[in-house]
Amino acid sequence: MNGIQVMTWSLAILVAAMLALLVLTALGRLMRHRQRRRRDRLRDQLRPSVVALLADPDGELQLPSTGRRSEDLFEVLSLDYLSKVRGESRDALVRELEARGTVDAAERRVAQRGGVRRASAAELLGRCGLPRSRDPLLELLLHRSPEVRRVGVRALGRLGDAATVGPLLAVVDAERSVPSSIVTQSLVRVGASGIPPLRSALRTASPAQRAVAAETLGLERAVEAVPDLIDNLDGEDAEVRVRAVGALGRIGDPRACEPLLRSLRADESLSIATIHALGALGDPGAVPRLSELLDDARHDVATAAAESLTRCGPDGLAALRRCADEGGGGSRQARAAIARHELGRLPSNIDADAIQFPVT
Amino acid sequence: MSHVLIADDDPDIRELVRFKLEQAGHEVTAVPDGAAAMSAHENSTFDLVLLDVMMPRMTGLEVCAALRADPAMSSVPILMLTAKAQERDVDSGFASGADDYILKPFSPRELLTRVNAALSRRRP
Repeated sequence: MNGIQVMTWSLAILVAAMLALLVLTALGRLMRHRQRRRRDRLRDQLRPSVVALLADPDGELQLPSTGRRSEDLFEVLSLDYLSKVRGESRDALVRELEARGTVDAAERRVAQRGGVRRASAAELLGRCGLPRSRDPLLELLLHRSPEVRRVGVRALGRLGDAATVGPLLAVVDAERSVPSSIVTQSLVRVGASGIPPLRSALRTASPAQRAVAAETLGLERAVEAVPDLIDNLDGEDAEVRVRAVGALGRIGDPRACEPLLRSLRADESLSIATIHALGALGDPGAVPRLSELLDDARHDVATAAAESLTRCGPDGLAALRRCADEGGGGSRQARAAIARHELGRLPSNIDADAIQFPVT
Repeated sequence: MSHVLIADDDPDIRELVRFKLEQAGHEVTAVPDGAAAMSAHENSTFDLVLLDVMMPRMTGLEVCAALRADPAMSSVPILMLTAKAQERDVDSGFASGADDYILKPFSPRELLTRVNAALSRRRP
């Protein structure tokens, strides 16, 4: 074969391969589309039965016989509805899932191989929120796969069981750990019942766990944890101090004002976080110290102080206006903060055509 | 019998609310988005409106504000049904003219109670 023939054959093979790929891709999409439509049709057939149970929790579920797939789809539909309803409707759905053996099957699947099946089983167990599922889900925290551990953490948060707080915190700095952000989200889901063990962790746990506990308590707006968070402002670990500062700002309890001001004087590394927290508190008692910081050589500190002063009521705004009028150090940050504050007060339905600009 | 409009892009929620309200004797029109809600409003009279906040084409807040701009709708109760529970979202809802907020996940029984209470407050 000469060179031209070789090239011709090569091109022909390439074109044939591309056509085959296109055909396979199109077929794949068509099959997925048909599967989706079939699933949606079955789902539409099952939905009325589930809706009837949710609307009348004392009634009985009667699924139409649509074959073997109906049980699988019932599980999928239940998983969706469990996140959308609460109260006796939700309890009725969970009872039905238990009665049908779906919860038993999910607890078995959680221990098996297969990432997707295990994840969906864990999700179902988490949403059912049954205490019996706690131990199978706790096992997932010890798994060697980071993905499996994450699935376990998320599902345990959905259980809403205070007894899971300790194991969830432990996985933050365990040999087989889970990112602290995922653990924090789950701890928040545990809810108010998790606050006492989180407070206890602030006193006894490792620095990494105390940092997560502090952040979670802030997100929960746990007023009862304010004294414990204040105690952690003097801790050795910087991350714990930063999280405690942030949490105190979120909670907004005035008891935190003086300790935060002391922290501001004692710990330069926490300046920005503490200034923001003081702004979140909005306590006029912080105005004098924040006003001093308008003149700080660090631009970010001066800017943060100016923003925080806008949140400290009339005293804060008055301090900003004085600084702006005096024209000294910090006046630029003060003017910018006042302008942003005034812009934020404009009504959202402002009519731009009605604004009259000065003619110069 | 009252005529209720429910607008929610989630068919699971839409069908559950429709079933519960119809079971209680209300006539229900269920639509999947805000634009369809406005069309329904143009073609029918409603005694109460239930709106999801996050919807395609027109959000529930936009629909609420548009409905309130119609003098005929000034006394019709509008309830927001939503998962958005931040303070500013609740404020936005009330600023748009909503009368009440029902948070998701919701109790169907409680939703019916609130709908009936809103309807009874409206009647002379």
